[in-house]
Amino acid sequence: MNTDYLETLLRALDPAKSSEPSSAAQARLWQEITNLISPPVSKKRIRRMSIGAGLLSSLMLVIGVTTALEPSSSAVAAILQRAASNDAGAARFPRLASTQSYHQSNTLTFRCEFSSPLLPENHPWLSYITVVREETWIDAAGEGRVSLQPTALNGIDSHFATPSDQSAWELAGKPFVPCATSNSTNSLASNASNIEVTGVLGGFSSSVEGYGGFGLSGGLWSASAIVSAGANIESLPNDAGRISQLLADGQIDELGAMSPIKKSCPVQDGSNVGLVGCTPSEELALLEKLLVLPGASEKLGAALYRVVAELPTAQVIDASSRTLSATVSTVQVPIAANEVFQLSLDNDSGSLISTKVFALIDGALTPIAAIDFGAISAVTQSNQ
Amino acid sequence: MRFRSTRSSHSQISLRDFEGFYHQHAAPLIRFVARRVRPSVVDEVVAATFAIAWKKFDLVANPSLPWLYRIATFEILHDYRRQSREGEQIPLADIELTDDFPLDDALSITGAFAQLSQSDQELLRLLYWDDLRRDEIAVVLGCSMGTLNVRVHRAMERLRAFLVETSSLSDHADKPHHVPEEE
Repeated sequence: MNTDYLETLLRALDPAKSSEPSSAAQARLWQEITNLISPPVSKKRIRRMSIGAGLLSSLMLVIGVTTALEPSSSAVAAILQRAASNDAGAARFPRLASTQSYHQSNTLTFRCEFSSPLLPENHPWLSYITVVREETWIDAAGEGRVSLQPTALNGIDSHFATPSDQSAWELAGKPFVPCATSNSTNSLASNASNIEVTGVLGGFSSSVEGYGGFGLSGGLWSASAIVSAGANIESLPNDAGRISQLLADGQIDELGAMSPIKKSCPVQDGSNVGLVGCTPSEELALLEKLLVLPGASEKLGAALYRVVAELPTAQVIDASSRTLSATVSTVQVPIAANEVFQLSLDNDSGSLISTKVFALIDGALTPIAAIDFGAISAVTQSNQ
Repeated sequence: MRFRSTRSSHSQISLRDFEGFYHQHAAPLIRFVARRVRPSVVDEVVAATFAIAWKKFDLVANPSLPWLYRIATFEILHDYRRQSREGEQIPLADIELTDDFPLDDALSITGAFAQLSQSDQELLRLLYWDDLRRDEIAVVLGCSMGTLNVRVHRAMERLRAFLVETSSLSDHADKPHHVPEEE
């Protein structure tokens, strides 16, 4: 057989042989990549560049804080086990009529730290608190949509972390604030030239592009992936014990999809390399990611309580805060040298109310990411 | 505009250096990914590939295009896994029919290629579409040159076998391709 001819035919089959990505497309992609590699929220991991004395004092502060918050670990176990039991007995997803969808509205909050060449040397970094409303609708067929609605620049919710940050930003000529959801339609994604932006930051966003928030992998996932992940979550078993076992065996991935076989943990912290399944700390890291998905607070709350109860460093912060409608307990567990994870739950129903991650910033425990979970309800499609 | 660095191990590598690396390799990597996943996720996979490359940029001696392809291969597999698919069937290019490339041959090679295993197809993509040298393909696949040569030989043999089964190409292709078929 004539090899030259065969090779020429093979080359001719190349589906991308004549496609040359435009420079505009490459520039847009680079913008996405910079969001991924230097995410606004630090992907919950704000690492201070100064180590040594600063880190040591931070560590000492964490030790001091956790020691001061001492209720016993048995108190943690009691609170979490009771909540898991109550949550497991609570109503699950409401039954859907053919014209209905599940609806959930969560509030995502994250701390974004950014810099600009326009900022002065004595204030090179600014901190901005971004608040995003996340609404999802998923019908019985597992289809639907997601809306991420960032609040206005310096609006009621989103704001600079301190008056000092805001002053520095104004003195620098109000450079571009890259700390909100954005996509190619709202002009912010392409606004990399640090020009003045004083209007609404973001606006309606039909996709999660640019969102660097809590667990969303720096905006890597598309809106359709979020919706299909919501369908995955809804398909998980209702039994919290079964879910816990699936998590421990690595059979639930970061999008909530179940595997029929045991696998290595999809979120690895280096303690379990090459082995099947997840350690409790890896399970917590995986749950942090999963909880941002539609409906996950309902399905995974009890499993989260079980995992945290297994961690010996978990502490009760508060067991009896009262809100208008509930008595709330808050449990905290360190997840890194300078970070802690907090969950708040409804003592009576066992429902997961919120999760937060705090980091030590300038010597103070500061929230860097949070989700406040809304209830799941069934809505008619005309209300979407 | 820059965000505060989240990693302490990259203090000596600037984003500007990495941007140069990106512009050097973005176009071939985009094509590489476009050959393997559906168009709607090409950007997603390419962005994830460069994000991982950034994390490991100072850990490898020679960050290169084959190294990027290797990272992208894992990201593509990750995408398949997320979508619960074995692999994408990206439509092959329409072959421009000429006297040298008659319709029967175009249909035969397309059919034979589709019958190959995923690993054989991937090998031929790397060789004939991504235009990598064999030592570069060995980097992408993480195998030795000896193993690679054996795999290429066997993949081509299997392709020829499928061609013989399904077409008249073997009759035609035995001849030099610039020789037109006899009337």
